Amino acid sequence: MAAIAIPMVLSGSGDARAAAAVPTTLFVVDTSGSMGGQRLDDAKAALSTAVDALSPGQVAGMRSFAGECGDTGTLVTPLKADNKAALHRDIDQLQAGGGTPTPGSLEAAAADLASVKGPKQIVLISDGQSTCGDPCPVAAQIAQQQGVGFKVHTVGFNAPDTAEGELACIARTTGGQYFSVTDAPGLTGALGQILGTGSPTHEYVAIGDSTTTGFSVPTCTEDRATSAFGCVGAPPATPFPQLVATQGGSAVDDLDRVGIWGYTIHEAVADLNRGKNDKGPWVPQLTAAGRATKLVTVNLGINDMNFSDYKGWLASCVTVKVRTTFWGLPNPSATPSLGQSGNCAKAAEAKATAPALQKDMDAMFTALDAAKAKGAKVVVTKYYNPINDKRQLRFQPDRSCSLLHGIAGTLVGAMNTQLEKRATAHGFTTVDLAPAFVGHGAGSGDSYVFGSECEVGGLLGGAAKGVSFDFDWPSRQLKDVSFTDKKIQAAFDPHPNGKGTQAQAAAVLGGIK
Amino acid sequence: MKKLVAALVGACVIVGGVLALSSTAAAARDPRVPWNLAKVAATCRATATNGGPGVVEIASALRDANTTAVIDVPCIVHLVGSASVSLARVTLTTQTLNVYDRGGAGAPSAISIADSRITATGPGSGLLLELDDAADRIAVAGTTLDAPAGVMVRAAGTRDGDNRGGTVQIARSTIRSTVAESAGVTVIAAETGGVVALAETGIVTPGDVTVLADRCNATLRGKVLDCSVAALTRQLAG
Repeated sequence: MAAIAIPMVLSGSGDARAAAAVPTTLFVVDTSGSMGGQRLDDAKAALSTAVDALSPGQVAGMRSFAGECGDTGTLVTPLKADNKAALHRDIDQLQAGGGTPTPGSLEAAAADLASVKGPKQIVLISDGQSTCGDPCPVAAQIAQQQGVGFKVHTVGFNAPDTAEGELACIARTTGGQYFSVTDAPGLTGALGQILGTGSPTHEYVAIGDSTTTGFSVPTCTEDRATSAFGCVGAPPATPFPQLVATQGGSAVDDLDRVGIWGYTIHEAVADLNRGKNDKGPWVPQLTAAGRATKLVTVNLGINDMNFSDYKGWLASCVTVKVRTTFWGLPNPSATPSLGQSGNCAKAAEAKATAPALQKDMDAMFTALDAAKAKGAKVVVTKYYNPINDKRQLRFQPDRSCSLLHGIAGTLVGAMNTQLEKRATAHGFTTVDLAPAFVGHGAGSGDSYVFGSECEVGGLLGGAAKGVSFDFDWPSRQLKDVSFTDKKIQAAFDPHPNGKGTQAQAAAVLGGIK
Repeated sequence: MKKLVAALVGACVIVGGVLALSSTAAAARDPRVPWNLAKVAATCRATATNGGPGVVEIASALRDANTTAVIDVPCIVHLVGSASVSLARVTLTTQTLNVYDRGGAGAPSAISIADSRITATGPGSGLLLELDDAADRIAVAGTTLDAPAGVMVRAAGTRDGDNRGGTVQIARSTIRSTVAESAGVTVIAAETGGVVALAETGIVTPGDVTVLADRCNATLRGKVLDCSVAALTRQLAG
């Protein structure tokens, strides 16, 4: 297949050039009592490695902090270009003792940078919760004062949950990144990523859920700890990002594909905030997205909609509302009725616009701004309906699958509306995958997904035949059987097959022209 | 999106307490004479193991009337071929009870339960009545079906993936599944050619209620609900 050239729109922009300037960096190191011993030795070693990697001409300095509330720490190494020797000397002399007056130290560090022009950043390393109140409001205040180009990156070094919350908040509030590390290599890696020395960039980063993995239900043994894609096995379809990378020309052929089976926006944001993947040693998707230089594709959201909960959605959308209040006889005056017209759309919209999900979406799109600032084009893909509107059987008339098709379409539509809204607000591109899948969902004679079924009857009957209901004998409590029968799951498999991933790739390539 | 599938599966396993025919369970063979509930209970008890439910294979019929019976183990009643069930004026207390005709070549069969009470006990116990052929029919009248984990009555013509036909008629009955975590009540026939008719039947559950078929209506105190696929699809469209 002929290569499709990626046009110049993916090339670096003025923003990218500005962002590429090396930021002035102030290390702010917690030297409270809890940092004593091996922990401080590890921090010194990691800091030394980081200092070695500073760019020629880069302005850097260090402030240490410990003591009582009101103490602001000491600017042990004033900011200066090519400052490696002084930094190494002062790092060696760091000593631990005292409390953790994070807010005052943060204010003082911001003051250290106040006169600096251009991009500047604080790299805050701490192992404990502030002993002088919540530092996050202070972070918000100094972010406002310092303006664009200022960030506080934070590293929790064996920090307890309460401290992690504070440090993550500081980073989030100032547009920085939070890293949670537990040992010297982790700390070295985190500092490397912050300084850009340990974080390889890629032309194209593809973040997303299972539809970016190439796996089908039968071929996925879900395991997020072992597999970066969340599945152990061999994907039967070439994932669409890989097709984009190979068909998109040299501008995007350096691909970092980080889709995870079942991944949600909520998980993506949580992983970003904690600075690590919750299950395995994988770089958080949104962190990886920030390293893209040309293109980021984003394929997340439908799992946040509980797309899988067909039982629940079936009940919400189309079942007869016969409950105790109707037919349970305690309330004889109640009138049995179908659900309110439009209930399904309302339920889907309610889910898609729930405050928690809105907050997660805002956080994700804000994080993606970083990729855009570096010159990458951010492409948000809108979901397709994986259920065909009819079941096509050989030698038989087509059967309507309007019910499942309608439910799936309602959920997909609600999420797509939110994705479109935010993508537009952030200046990102949206690519609608739906048109390519019309007539090619599960049940179609020419399916672009692995599934073949679209009828409720088939769903229920098929499950009845195939599922091994798993009892915990002898207690006989029903276990979750949702994933026990891959034959049934495969019948309704919504994941794109080879034709599907090609359709996805074609849509994305069309969208970035 | 991966969970769509589980989705679809989840939708069908809403009857908690559904059992599968365990390969390790020793199914008692049908001696080609009608079974009664006492014999089913005894056979289930005899074939149940710590690893699985009791299993009875019936190739003729299960018939009983005017009796009280207790099945004190989870039990599968597997109807073979055109085997049928006919119960009248019985009071049956059971643990999870599944009556179905899965597997094999299939043939038209029927389940008829009248003026009876079937109660599954224990929080994880469910009740399943299921027939797989297009011409199959499940009829329940004047009866209470009560299972805490969920109740599913299904005639969806699903044998060989045809998904066509099936008839469920329930009249003057009550279906209950009342524990807080109940999987609810499902009454369903095929989306194509299936028929569900509910008449003056109460459904009491905190779980989900799914009533659906190609042709489907429910009447209560003179009011008629259209629960057909077409009507529900129209509702879906808003």
